[in-house]
Amino acid sequence: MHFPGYYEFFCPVEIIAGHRALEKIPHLLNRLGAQRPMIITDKGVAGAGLADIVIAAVTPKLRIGAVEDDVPTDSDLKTVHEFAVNYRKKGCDAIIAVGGGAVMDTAKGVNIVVSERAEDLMQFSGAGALTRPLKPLVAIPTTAGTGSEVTLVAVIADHARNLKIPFTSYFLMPDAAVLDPRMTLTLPPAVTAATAMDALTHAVEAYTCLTKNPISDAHARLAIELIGQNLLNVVNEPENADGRFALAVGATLAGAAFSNAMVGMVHALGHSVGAVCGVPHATCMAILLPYGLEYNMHKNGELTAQLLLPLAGSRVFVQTPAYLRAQQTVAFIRQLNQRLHQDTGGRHARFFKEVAGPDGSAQVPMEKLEAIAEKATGDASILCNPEELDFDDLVMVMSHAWAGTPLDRNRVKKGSLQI
Amino acid sequence: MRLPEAFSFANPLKINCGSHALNHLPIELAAFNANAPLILSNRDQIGRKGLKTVIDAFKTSGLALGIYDRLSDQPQPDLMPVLVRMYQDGGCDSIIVVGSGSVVDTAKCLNVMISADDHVSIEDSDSKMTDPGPLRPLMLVATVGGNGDEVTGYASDGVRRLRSPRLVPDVAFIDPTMMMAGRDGRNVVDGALIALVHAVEAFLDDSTGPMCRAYADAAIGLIVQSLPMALGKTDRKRSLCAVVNGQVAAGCAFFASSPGICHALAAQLKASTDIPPGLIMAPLLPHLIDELGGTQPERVGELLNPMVGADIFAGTAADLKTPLTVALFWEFFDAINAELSLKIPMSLGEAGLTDEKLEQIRSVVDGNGVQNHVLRIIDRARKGPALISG
Repeated sequence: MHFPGYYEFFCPVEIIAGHRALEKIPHLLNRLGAQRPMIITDKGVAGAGLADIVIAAVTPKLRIGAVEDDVPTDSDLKTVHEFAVNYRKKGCDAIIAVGGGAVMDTAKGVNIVVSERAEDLMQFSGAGALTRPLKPLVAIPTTAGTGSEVTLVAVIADHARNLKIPFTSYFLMPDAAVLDPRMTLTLPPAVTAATAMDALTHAVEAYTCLTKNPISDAHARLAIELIGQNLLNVVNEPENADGRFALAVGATLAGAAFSNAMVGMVHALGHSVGAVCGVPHATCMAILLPYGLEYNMHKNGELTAQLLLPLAGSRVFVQTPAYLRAQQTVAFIRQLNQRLHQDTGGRHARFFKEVAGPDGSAQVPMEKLEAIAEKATGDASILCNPEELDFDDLVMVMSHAWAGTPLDRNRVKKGSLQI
Repeated sequence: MRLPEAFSFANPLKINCGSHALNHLPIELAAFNANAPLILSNRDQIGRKGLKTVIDAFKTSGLALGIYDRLSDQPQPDLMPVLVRMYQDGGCDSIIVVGSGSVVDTAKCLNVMISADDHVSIEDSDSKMTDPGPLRPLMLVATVGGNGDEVTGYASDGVRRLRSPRLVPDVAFIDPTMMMAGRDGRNVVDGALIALVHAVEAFLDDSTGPMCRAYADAAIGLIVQSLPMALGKTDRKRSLCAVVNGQVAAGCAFFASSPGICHALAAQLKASTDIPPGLIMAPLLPHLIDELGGTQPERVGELLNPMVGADIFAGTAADLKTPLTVALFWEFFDAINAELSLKIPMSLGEAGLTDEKLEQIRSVVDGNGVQNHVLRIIDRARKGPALISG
């Protein structure tokens, strides 16, 4: 068991999970001293009827103070301030966030503004700016998922200045995360696939990168097992409520893991592809995950090998010779991406060349690979990656992730960083 | 993995573990806007050096510290009003408790008394406390000799065992410089075994969900893999740190689940023997596993993973996983006994429990459902590991 020199683990978010978990929210808010929540969601979630399911489950025990369903696809500074004004105007005393990552981040931002009575959210940007608990926040994820329901981070876009502003504080963590499979039952197969691969990446990077610890490891292994055992079934059988529940719980476990153990080059590159080309985060994670494991294999291959068990099960693990297990893990993930590609009718992308934008055009042109690599050199996630990466290394990885070809591990420069 | 139909889990504890963990004490207090802690400890338990180590963490902080290091290892109800006055007169705003057992219980009870409204007091409430509301910050500096109870929402006030999530400390600091073991390792082993049993019972509890299981998994791995080395002669601090980390993780899992059969049986048996409670629980554990291997073979088999790793877990045939797990626990106790003067008994008979006493306990067990497990565990544990006679 890996026992680090020093680590911290903190996940105080109350997890309420089950097929009727939503019905427990009134009692929960009551315990938190709140009675008049604002629901924050987006048009997609509202259009799928999920906000109505939540409202039906919590009323009439709770009186909903306001419903805001206009969260943009990435959370936005202006939106945060508008929602905060309405929160105060309607006398709300809590937030229920129903949605994916952007909704969660928006809700966290609104909670800062209303709790601190701030005029400008920006004064709380960065790490450690908050100094006291915020008002009650309940997170109901509708994807499985970003794990944002248990993280201490929010990223809010300032579109006016074309910037993404991070907010980091333990006080940002929701009071509770409510995991109810009704919230993901209608998630389309391609989104199910990509968001589950996002969750898988969180767990895998938490387990294989530099700041892992025994508790995050245990969370990560269970997350990988739940996702590995259920993802393909759910993509092919979308109304499998037990499978949906398993993926939701797996995503939250993965969120707790990476929130306490950080991530690595998969996220560094993924953030950059998202920033430069607008590719959704989950799509980037699915494509880049095997490349991160390949690149780092000479440093952390033993850890990657261990993940073959929760990912592929005992039979595959036992019949794979120990020295080949790390490669087998990578192969399994590639195969998973391939199966998901087939089972979603081609919508789940296996490599960047086949990622198409809303207008059908290629979203990641080859000419952008260097810009992506340049941006990734400045991404904080690169700090916890087991192997060092410079611009040339990142270009090399991106060129393979673009074309869909495995890395030539002989071209990976072996740095002096001891892990 | 099969999930329960519904579950909930909450653990408000932050864990800071490893080198220089104590240096974070002032920072963690500041996160709660606290700057006038009352430090509580038992000098006999941690020694002058232990207390100095904690005080040194505040060297450059500029904070004034209140200190009371004369707590005993038994509950002291008469002392509570004195501590309350000390806290209030000293202008304190937080509590740091250093140690384990009753010292931590005292700190938790004090926290209720200085935090709660006038109409809520421990004397007025029964064991399941009315919610005392938010308490003042409580930091735990964990030491060897604990059993994980320190990080739960349980506290004994000398009469009752109180329960409230509010009693859980805010932060647990596990620092190698505080890992001082007694010469024969008894204080290490007793607490570690209690924690291990709690972790195993939480791991096997199907109703608690995977978050609880993650803490239990980590606890089992840390204790089983580190305890033998922690009793060795050299380089013990890191292993002791891992064991205490395991105890803390076990406490988190234990509080999220219900006390199990071994816990309940040991509670009944301890009045009849001088042997420390952890050393009574230990010989029950393999029999519990054997029993539950009949009804939950898959979950019992999964214990192999944190105990001995993925290769043995995955490579052991399904019908051999339970017997192997049982055998491994006996081997674990045997390895520990090699380092101890007071040995873990291999049977209840060896623990000094007479047949008469065991009959007495047997007779109050009804003999239905889970109680049949209990009866069989008592019967098998009388004799110890199953051996072919001859």
